[in-house]
Amino acid sequence: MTHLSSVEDLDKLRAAVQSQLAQRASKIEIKIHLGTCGISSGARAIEEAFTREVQTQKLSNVVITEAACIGPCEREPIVTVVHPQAGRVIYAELTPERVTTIVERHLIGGKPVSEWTLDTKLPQFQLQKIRIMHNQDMDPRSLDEYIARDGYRGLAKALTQMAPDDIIAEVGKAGLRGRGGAGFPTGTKWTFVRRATGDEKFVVCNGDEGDPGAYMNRAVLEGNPHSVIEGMAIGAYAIGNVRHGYLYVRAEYPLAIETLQHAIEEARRYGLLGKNILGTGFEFDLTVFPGAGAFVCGEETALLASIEGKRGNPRQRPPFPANKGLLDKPTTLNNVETWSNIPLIVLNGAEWFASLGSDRSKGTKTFCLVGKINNSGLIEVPLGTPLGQIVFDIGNGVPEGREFKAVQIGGPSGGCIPIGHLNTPVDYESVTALGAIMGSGGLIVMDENNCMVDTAKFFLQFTRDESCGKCTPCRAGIPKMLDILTKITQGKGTMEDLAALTELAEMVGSASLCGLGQTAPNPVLTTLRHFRNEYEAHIIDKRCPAAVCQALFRAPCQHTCPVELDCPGYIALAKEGRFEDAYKLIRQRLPFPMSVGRVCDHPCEVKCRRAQVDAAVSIRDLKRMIADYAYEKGVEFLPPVKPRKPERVAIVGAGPAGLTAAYELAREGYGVTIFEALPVAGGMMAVAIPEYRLPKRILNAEINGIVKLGVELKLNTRIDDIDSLFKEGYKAVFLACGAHKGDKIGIPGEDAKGIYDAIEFLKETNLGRKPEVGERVAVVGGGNSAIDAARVALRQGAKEVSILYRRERKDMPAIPEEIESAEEEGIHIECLTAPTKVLTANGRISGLECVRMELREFDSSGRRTPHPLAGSEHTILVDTLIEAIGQRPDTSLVKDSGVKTGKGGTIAVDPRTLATDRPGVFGGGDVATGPKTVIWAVAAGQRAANSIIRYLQGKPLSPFVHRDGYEPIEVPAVSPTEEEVKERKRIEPSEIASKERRSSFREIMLAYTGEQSREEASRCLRCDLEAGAQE
Amino acid sequence: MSEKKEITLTINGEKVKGNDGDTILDICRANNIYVPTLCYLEGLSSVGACRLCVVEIEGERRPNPACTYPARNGLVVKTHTEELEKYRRLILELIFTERNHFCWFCAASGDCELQSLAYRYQMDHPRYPYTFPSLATDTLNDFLVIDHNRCILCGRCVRVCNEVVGNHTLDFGRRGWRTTVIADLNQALGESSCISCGACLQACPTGAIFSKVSAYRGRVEECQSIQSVCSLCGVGCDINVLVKDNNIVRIDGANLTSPKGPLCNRGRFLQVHNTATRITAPLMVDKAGITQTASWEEALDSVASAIKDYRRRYKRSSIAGLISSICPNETVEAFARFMRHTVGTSSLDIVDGKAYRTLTQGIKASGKSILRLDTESPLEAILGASCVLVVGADPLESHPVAACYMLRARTHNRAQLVVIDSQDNCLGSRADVWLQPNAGGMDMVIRALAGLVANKSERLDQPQKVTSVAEAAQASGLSPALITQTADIIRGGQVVVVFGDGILDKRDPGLVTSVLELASLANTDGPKWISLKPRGNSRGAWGVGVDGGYGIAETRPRLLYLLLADDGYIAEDCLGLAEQAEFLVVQASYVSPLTQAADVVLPSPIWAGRAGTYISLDGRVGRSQRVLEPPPGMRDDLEIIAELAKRLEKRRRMP
Repeated sequence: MTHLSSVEDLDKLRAAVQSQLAQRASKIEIKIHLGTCGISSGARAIEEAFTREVQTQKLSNVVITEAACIGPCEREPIVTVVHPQAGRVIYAELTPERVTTIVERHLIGGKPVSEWTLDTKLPQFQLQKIRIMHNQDMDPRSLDEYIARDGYRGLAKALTQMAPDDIIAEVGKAGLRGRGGAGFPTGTKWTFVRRATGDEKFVVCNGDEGDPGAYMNRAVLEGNPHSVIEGMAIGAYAIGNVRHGYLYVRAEYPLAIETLQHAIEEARRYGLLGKNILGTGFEFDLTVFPGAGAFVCGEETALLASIEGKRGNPRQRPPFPANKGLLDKPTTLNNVETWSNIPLIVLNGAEWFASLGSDRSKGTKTFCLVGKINNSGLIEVPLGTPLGQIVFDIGNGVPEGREFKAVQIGGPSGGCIPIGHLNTPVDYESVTALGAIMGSGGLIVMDENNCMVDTAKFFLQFTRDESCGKCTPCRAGIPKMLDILTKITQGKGTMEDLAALTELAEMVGSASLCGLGQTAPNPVLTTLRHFRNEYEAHIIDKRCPAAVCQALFRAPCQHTCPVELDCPGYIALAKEGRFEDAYKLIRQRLPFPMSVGRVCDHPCEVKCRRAQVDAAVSIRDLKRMIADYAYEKGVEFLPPVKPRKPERVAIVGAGPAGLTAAYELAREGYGVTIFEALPVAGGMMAVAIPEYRLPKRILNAEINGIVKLGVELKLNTRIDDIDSLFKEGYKAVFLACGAHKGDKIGIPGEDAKGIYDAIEFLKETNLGRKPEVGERVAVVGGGNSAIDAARVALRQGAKEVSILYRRERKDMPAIPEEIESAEEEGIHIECLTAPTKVLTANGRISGLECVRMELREFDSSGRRTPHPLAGSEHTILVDTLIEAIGQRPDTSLVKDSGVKTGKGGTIAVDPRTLATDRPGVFGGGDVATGPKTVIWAVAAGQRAANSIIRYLQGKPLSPFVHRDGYEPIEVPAVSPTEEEVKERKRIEPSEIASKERRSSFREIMLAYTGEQSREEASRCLRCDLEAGAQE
Repeated sequence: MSEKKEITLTINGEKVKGNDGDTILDICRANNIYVPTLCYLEGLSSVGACRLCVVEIEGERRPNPACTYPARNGLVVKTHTEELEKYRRLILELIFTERNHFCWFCAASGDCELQSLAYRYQMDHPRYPYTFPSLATDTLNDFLVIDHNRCILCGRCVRVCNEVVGNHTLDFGRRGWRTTVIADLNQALGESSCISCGACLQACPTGAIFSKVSAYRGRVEECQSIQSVCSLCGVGCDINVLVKDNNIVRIDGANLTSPKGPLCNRGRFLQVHNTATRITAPLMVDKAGITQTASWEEALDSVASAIKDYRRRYKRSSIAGLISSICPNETVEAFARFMRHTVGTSSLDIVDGKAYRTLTQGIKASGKSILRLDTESPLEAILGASCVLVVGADPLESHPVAACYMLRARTHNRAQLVVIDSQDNCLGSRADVWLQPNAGGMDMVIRALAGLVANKSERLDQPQKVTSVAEAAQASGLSPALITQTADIIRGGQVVVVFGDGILDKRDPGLVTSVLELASLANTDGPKWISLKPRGNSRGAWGVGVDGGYGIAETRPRLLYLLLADDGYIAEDCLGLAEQAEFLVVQASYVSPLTQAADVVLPSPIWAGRAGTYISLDGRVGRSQRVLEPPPGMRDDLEIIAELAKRLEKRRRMP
């Protein structure tokens, strides 16, 4: 029985197939997922391997079946094993070798090989709501299976129990909106077409999915073709006078087209398409029309023109296709996913459908989660799911610990939603409010290594090439916008260009003929709206913060380094063993190579392109090795000093910023005096960083190198008033007094004895004053000073040290290696915990009342906000508490001086020139930015020196540009060999054992040996040489 | 047809009226509200591509083009808001910088819509850098140049080529910023299916398409525009002749988007730049047998005395007159009157009299009273046909604008185009069916088709005339299936039969009868047929100057007065007659073998130097104007005839 001539026939067939399938359930079923993603990852070979193994092992209770893509495309080939006893297990990333093991251990042994399975209990799967994709795990080429899963029951119900108007009303009540992107209510659209006059009407399915990175519709067409066919048949019946429909599927989807054609033939054979469907007299048939390969054919009028055999150009509406569509007949055009929803709505009712989703966006939506995301692939979630949940819970965040930046939604017509909007519910209204569009469901995740100007450029290149060329704004306007963007990415842009860009974008957006042109400026407009600072960085600073726009730099590492250290240069020299030259190259920009080589947070390594092969080059450790080598060999480095000039400059604070500024000014011949309140020079490097990370003798040696240039250093001298400095004859003042004041938590009992702030605690230790430490120490905070304080406390004799942090471990701002080291040393990190009260005994801390925290909504920095969890209050016993929750500067010296203060108690400066509001007074380092790392302070010192020199010379201030080195050192221009590019591990320097560490302040990390450094240096890809070749 | 409903809308705060079905642009234009356009051209479909006409419509999210937006009662429209004007300026800047628009080198400078808009919007320079694309200039066509550097992709050429000409040579190639106008599958225009009608040229708003014969000759504002009618073929297209300093600058179709608007390459280009040698003074053969320039008096006297001499010496019929049907009715009438009454001979003919006799005898032989010359269908009938059957004619060569009717009918009204012609046929390759029977098999095929068509409608008058398919196939060399198939296409519908020189030149009235029989049978409501007559005023001349006899060849004239005017085509018959004549008078505009053989040559003005009425092949009367002053010393044909008459009559009256 294949021809179904009544609903009864359909019911009988369903029952028959269901019992057949029930019989199959007594066997082990192996489903090979053969979507395009699976096949391209080698699923056919996996299928062959299973077949072969089952044959050789003579397993009679195994059936091998085929299914479609179920979502985690990144982890294909995927196979589902349904064991009558052991249940359902999904294997991912299979290889033919693994198949052998699975057959032995799981099929024969009965125990799943758990290391290769997908954990479906993870939020990645648990947060999804599967409706559209509910048939992805069945054989898409089997109409029987579809019928067994209630397939065509919706059509049967529509034809026999519902009037056409009822169906449209139901679809309207369900709140289904067009899944192609614009979100027009489907019920309303159908009403228009039903009301349009005409004895011949058409239904069309838009499967011309062309957005870069989007393939939701392909998966549905490949996996659940009958849901679309059934949806269209229901639509045809509801609209009336429709006898034929077209499925326009892009020709780049051969598997989808083949699957659809097979499904249509099967449906015809069963009498579910054609004349007199299910004996109801209803007639409907379908044709698959492969698209011609133009993105614009996704636009409805262009698509219809294409079906008519014309050039795929859109035409101006009105008239709308609802009145004049295909062959000028009333036509409804819906997206694949929209059609696929119809049978479910008809069968389960509007209420069921509307039970998921947000206020005005009902149901679920499939998305393609791609880009810089750990779990990339196809997902289905209720509309209105917060963006952050999709990215961080389902997608599991950005790989390699890089910082999330934005989500590009809606393809080339969409826009970028930045980190500050992670709470945005992903539905039609909310996404549109941010300047993007929902689109068909492409979500491209971007991280700090994505340049937003470059992203806008990429999408404009796409729309420029895919524009049909008919209307002027789109055809001529987009290339013009692209020209401007290109100019900006080459560092040739001006601020006027931004105005021109906006003006063009607005015109193209409003005056273009079709949706392509109208939305093409969106990527530009949203990046301008949310990432204007990146545009300005390109234009004013000639910098690409993401290190993408190649014309602006030689190598990403160098570009990212705040002092633009020539990393590829010294790495290349180290590779040749020319360590002395390498040292000289470093010293031309950096007066503290040994210190920075030890404590730098190395932003350069985040941008290292080697990470795309295996892992970043260990740039910091190479620098340290080179600097240590020079120190040990006694290499003397004295930069040329210009003849003495009469002007003198006062620097407040002998930290890295002040010392660097002094170094640069002294080289120019200016007299410099540094006033330091503490008894030692070096600022935070000296007092906050523990000895085991940065030995004092190393630091002092480097400070001596600066003082040697003739810098006057006045220790133990606190400056309270900058006017006095001018009175003393100083012509300019650089404020670099850091941020040394620790923040208080603000809980009762904080004034008890035994409570320190971390900086104070570290300072005391570093000055050799041995602060009193109890047995049980709690450190509150997650930054570097928290880790340092905890590890110092351990070395001071504490028995038990815990770090309390209110967020999750991955949110801790401290350097990850430092956190690991601390844990190795036995420090306990208690996350999602915050103190609420200090318990005291005899005026001394005796314990902490704490509460567990729960992370909820995202804050503007993209982190989830912790909220106290009611009922989770608990007490921990401690006798020492170190608070490391933040520092702020002490800016009392600028009171009434004409220097303004800014956010967080900092000194307000122009970030480019570091000038304060008072002429001649400059500020930089932590005092201007709040707590940052050493390398940023060094950069601020250089910037300040540059501004001070210009100020003293009477020149207008301008953004700092690094000068060429004063001693040319020839860097070998040798690209890495093929062998050197091959994947291999990063060399980790040795360190002393954690047991020994706990009780000593001995330096932990050891420098590379010469051999190790040459080996590590050979991992450098020499991006700088490519840049040269491009010019 | 009901009257169109009147609607009222508010444009820029004023209440204005229009009709249901109008676009906003229609109503703006009717109410003198200026809205700039570039891609819009009245009579072509509106596409809303240039976006200059975008207007704000209350209730619409975005500006919409006025040229496509259907007006509705109560719409509130603003056409000149600050934002719209900003957009328009911006669009102009984009167009200017997209390609290489440098007016000072452009043939269209001064006549360019883009340039005018730039002036209007005071765009003295674009604010964006020029793109400077390197685009080709296609010069391979004999008459037209496409300079893609000046193209703004408005698509007017594409639409006129497709919608009006029906030839669809031009379209867009590639997409986005790489879009260009292409001919066929991106061939050079000169190597494409282009018929060089020049409609694209006339539609082009800039200098992207320009004419090799008209470029740099003058601007519209410097020219006098004279409405006239083209006399080169029987279609009789209305033309606008632009004249500057007594030179023709260019010729345009008077209404480009009407069916006769496209013109043909002869009508549009060849008349502007004609290289034939003009005759500007009378010529006479002297006693030594050498042709010499003569004065008008000498020449006219010589002709008059020759006529008198022959009239005295021989029968009156030894003098014959032959006139080209390129001449207007007035000239033909005067010539006929002169020959009949003044000279007194009845030996008078038109150069294409043979075709007339074949046609009328064919009609007579059919025995159908409804078949008369004045029951021929107008050309417009082709546009309403479901099938156009072209027999023994290559209209694309002989009557190109008539061929455009057929191409349009085919591309836009889905009419079937069937060509039956033994010769090479330009239209044949564009037809749905092209039967190429052996030269002798044409009649058989037509009669077989008539039989097949009639069998179904059962209205065959003369069954004995029917040829079987097998016989026809054998005689024509065509496959029987093809003949049957063709009959299926012809049968049952609105069939217009068009025939031309392939039938009329055959001197075989029977063939005409067969064709007319087929025309009668193919249509249920009477025959629809059009004969493509050979010259511009054939129909007019036939009505005036031809008798139903067998032509003047029968009378073996000794003196032949041939009024050829500017007819560039010399029929074989004329040459034969001229050779036989003892005394040959040729009145012509250009040097030809006939003028070289003549005893007396009288200069005749060209079309541009004369005025008069013409009757088109389908019976429409057109009036041509004198657009150029003739060279000094030239006399009008009518004046020459009158002068001769004066000389002959004077003598008669004087005793």
